[in-house]
Amino acid sequence: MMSVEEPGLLIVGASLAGLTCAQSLRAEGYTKKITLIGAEKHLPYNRPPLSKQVLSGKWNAAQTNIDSAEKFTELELDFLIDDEAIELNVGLQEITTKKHTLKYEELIIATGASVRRLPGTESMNRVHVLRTIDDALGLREALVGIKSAVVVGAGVLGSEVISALSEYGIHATVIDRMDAPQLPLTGGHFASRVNKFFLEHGVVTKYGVEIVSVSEKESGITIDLSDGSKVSGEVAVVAIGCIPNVDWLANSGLDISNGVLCDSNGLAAPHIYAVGDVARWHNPVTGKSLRLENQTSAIEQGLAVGKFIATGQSSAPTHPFFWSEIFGNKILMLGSLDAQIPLTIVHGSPSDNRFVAATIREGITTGIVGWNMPREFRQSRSMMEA
Amino acid sequence: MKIRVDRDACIGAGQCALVAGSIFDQDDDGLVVLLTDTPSDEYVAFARKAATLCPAKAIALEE
Repeated sequence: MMSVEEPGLLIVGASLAGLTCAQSLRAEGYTKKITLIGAEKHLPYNRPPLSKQVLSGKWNAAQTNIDSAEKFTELELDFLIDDEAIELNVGLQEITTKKHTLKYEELIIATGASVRRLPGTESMNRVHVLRTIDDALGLREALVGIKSAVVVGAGVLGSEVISALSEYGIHATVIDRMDAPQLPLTGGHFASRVNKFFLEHGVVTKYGVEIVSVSEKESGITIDLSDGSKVSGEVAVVAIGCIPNVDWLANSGLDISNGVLCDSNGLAAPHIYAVGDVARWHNPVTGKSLRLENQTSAIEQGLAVGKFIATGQSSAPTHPFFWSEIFGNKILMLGSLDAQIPLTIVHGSPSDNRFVAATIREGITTGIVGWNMPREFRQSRSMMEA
Repeated sequence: MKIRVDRDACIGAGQCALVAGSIFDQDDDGLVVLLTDTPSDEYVAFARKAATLCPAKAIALEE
């Protein structure tokens, strides 16, 4: 069955999306060789717990592993760890890595995204980012014994970091160029609710400001802001998003503007697919092509591409989903809330801080959120199927 | 097949109860409750689907 000469299928990126794709291919009956290339020196792991259970110290690193080494053996993968793709040659159907030149019959691009850093702070020891397991462990160590920190970015990651800082009793200052905290997919409906948690926990907020300069001293970090003020902390945590890892595709001829553009089957070009944070899939329902940087989309795209390659069958488009825990509030978000439409309360009550809410446009539910009401959230998910 | 769930990892997304409601339920906090840890053969595929879709990877299967 498996011949030495047969190049088989190549997955670039040992991420959740890449690994799920391999599992899906085997489950759907794909028998050819599968090679998985990973840049990090770790087995594939889950990112969502990094800013939650790992940062708060509840979990150790191994608890984020997706599957044990035995599972990889079962999938009959050739796993090349600590290697990185440098170039794709579409005409020759081959990629060049730091260590190898590899041919493929089918290529899965799953190279993910890299953390965005503040220019000029790359070499500052007291400026942290949070994307990888090593980042999370490094930040956790840096928080031991300190009293103050600055968080740059009031998105969901920044909010989770602020929440963890609060648990450690560290005084936080948050900076954002927007005028309020931003949770993804929520259409701004909960900006003031999240801000209220910040203020209740003594967080100093600086919104609508740009960073002018960052300086590092032995005692900490000082940031000059566009409104003329300064903020400082013993460490700074920068949470301003990610950039898709497409540099190695620069000469490939693929459309890589804000991620690898794909059709609704994940196909970027003949025999080339992309999944996960690096991919920008077309959604035939919304008509938009968006990069969906969330765990569930990574899983569902991996499943869909595996099925499509093995069987030729398309999968139905799915809804983005994220969850978060901020100051003890369990937030579940499916689809996306429309900023222009008032919330419909489906269960519970916002004043009790426990509710399920949706936005409904012309009879169609665009998104649904569960706020400290996970069971009712699940029961209400069927609203999205209409 | 034997199923194990990790309630520390569970985030209450409810994917498992959606795709395999005869095996998984949620408690009042939304956390996973295992209705049976040894599903009969016709439900094994549903258990696999639930484990794959779980965003928190809180479901482990021993074949």
